[in-house]
Amino acid sequence: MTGRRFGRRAFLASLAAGSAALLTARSTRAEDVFTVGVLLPVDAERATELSRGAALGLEDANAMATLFAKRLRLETETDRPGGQAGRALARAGVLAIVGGAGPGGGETLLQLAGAGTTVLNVGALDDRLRNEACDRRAFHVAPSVSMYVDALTQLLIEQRKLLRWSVVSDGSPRGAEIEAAARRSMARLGGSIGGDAAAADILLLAVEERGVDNAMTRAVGEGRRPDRIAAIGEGGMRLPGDRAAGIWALAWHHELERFSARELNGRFRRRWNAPMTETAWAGWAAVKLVGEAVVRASATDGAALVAFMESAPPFDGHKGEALTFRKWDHQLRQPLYVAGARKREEISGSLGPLAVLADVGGKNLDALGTAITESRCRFAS
Amino acid sequence: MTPGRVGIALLSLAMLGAKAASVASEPLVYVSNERSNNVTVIDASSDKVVATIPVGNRPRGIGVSPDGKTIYVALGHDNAIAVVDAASRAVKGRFAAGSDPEAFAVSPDGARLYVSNEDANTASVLDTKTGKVLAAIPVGTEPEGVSVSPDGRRVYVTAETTHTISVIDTSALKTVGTILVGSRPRESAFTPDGQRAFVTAEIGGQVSVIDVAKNAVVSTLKLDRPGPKPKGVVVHPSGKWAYVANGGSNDVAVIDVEALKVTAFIPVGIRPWGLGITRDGKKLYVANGVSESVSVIDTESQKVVATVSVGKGPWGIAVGR
Repeated sequence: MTGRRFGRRAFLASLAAGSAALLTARSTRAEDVFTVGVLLPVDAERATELSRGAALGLEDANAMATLFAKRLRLETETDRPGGQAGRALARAGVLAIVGGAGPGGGETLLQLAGAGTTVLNVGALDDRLRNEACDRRAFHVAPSVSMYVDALTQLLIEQRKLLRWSVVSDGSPRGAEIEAAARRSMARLGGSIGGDAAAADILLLAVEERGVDNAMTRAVGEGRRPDRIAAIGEGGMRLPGDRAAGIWALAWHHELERFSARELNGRFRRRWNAPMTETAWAGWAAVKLVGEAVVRASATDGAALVAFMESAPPFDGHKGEALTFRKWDHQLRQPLYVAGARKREEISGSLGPLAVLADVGGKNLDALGTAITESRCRFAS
Repeated sequence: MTPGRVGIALLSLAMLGAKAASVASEPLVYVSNERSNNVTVIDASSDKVVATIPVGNRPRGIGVSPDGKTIYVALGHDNAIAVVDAASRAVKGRFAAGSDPEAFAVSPDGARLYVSNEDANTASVLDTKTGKVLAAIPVGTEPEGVSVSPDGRRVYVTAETTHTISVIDTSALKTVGTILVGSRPRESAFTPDGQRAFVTAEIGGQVSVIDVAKNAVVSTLKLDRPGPKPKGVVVHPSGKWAYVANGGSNDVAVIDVEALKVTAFIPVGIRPWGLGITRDGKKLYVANGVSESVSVIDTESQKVVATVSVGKGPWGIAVGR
C-alpha cells in the first residue's frame, strides 16, 4: 500500500471525525486548520497500526479542537530510504511530523529535527536518540530501550528477586543497547549478568525486534523455562497460541482496563475492529499531544510546540498518571507494563497470547530510563 | 425491562410492605459500593451502619431526591439506574440508562436526572416520574461528572478526553457553552449562590474555578501533593469552603472559596473518591475506595472523627434527609 493511499484514507477518516465533531461545535467562526505530518514505515502491518492510531488521535484531538474553532488534519506519507517523504512534508509546512516507527525511522526524524522541524517519535526506541544524538526539536512518545529493560528488572529483580541473569545477543545495535541497559539497571538494583547461563534465573533476549519472536521460540526449544525468558516489545504478540512464552515489557496492551484504558481500547476496537497495539497507542498519543498544544497554548508553529511540550503539560495517556516530557532528554515519562504468556487453553477470541502481569513505574516514573544524572543529552541552545 | 421500554417496574406492594421501615429523622448517608454491589446506609447522628441495600451490578454514581424519599444508583454493569425507596430500603424499579452509566445528577425539583453516557458522548435527560428519556444532548468525549446549578438552569458535564465542561441550558435542552479545564476533569460542584463552580482534574492535579455567568475559568488551584488525582468535590452549604477528594494522595483538600486558596489537607483512607456533606455542613463524608471505609470529617475542626467500615470499593456518597 502506498503512502498516498494511506493519506487519502486518513484524510477521509479525519473528514468523518470532523463531521461528528461539528455537531458539538458551539461556534460558527471560521476554523484555523493545522496539518500534522505522519511518516509511515514501509512495513505494512506497522504502517497500519500507526495510521489507525494517528487517525483516532486526530478524532480525539478534533473533538476538542473544533469546540474552540480549530481543527487538525493529517498528511500521511510512507518513509522510504532517502528521506524525501519527510522532507516533502516539512516543506509543505506541517506543524509537526509524527514518525520513527520503522527501521531507520529514528534517524530520519533526527535529520528533520536538525533541519528545524518539530518531530514526535512514536517508534524508535534507541537510547542514543535520547542521549548523544538528542535534538531539542525531537520528542519521544515511544519509550526507550532503557525504559523497557528497567520495567523488566523492576518486576523481576526488585519484586521477584530473580537476581542472576544471562543475555543472548544477536550482535545488532539493538542487542547491544538492550545488554547495556540491563547492565546499567543491574548496577542500580543489585542483580548480575554472566556466570553459568544454565543456572541463570532469567534469560534476556537482546535481539532485533523483528527476530525476537523466533529467538523466544528457540530459547524455549533449548529447554529454558518459558516464564524465565524476558524480552522487550510486542514480538510476543506474534507468537501463535501453542508457542506463547516469555515475559515481555510493553508500552501498551489492548486488554488494559484501569484508568479509562478500557474506554480508549474500546474506542479503538470499535473504530478499527482491531486491538490497539503500542505503536497505535503512540500514534494516538502523538497526534493528541499536538492537538492539546494547538488548543491549550494556541501553538501555531514548531517553536511554540517545543515550548508547550517543554512546559511539561500533564498529558492523559489513559495510563493513570500525568505523562510529561523530561526536560533533559524529551522522553515522555510513562508507566510501562509487563506481560506473560497465557495458558494455551485460555487463548481465544480477543484474548491473545500475552496477559498483563503488572504495571511498572507509576509511583516513580523517572526510575524508568535514563536519569538526569546519567543523561548524555546536551541540547543546543 | 428492555432498554426500549423506559419506566419504573414497580415491585409488588406486598414486598414493599414486608420490608417497610420508617425514614429516620436524622440524616442518612448512602454509600455506593462498586465491588459488593450494594449501598451502605449510615445514620449521621451516630455514624453507624444501619442497613445495607443490594442494588445491582457495579453501583457507582448515587443521588437522593430532594424530598429524601428516593435514592438513585447508577449500575454500570446493568446499564441502568436503580430506583430505591428510602423508606423500605428496597429497589422499586430501574431506569434504562444506556451503556455503563457512571455519574448523574438530580435536578433541584427532583423531576429530572441528568446522566452522562460515556460511550455515546451525550448527556441524557430522564423524567423521574416516567423514566422516559427527554433528550440526549451531545457533549464532550468520555463524559463523566454531572452537576446542576442551585437554580436548576444549568448543568455541567465534564468530558475526560476533551478536557472540557459542557454547559447545558436545561430549558432549551442544548449545550450553550464549552469551557476548557484541566486534564481529565472528573466532577464539578456549584456554590450555593450559583456564581462559581469548582472542577477537579484528575490528571491535571488541579481544580478549575469557573465564573458561571461568564462561562470562564477565573482561577486554577494546583493541589500541591504528590500525584493528588483529585476526583470528588463538594461545596459547604455556607459557600465558604470547597472540599476535594485527592484519590492519589489520600487526603481531602480544603479550599477557601473567597480567597481561592487551598488552606489544608486532611488525611483520610486510601483512594478517597466520592464526597458528601450534611445539609447543616457539620460533617463531611469521604468514600475511601481501597480502604473500604468512609471517613467522617468534622468540618469545624477539620479532623476525622470517625471511620466507618462499608462494602467493597466504596465509590459515591449521597446525603439524604
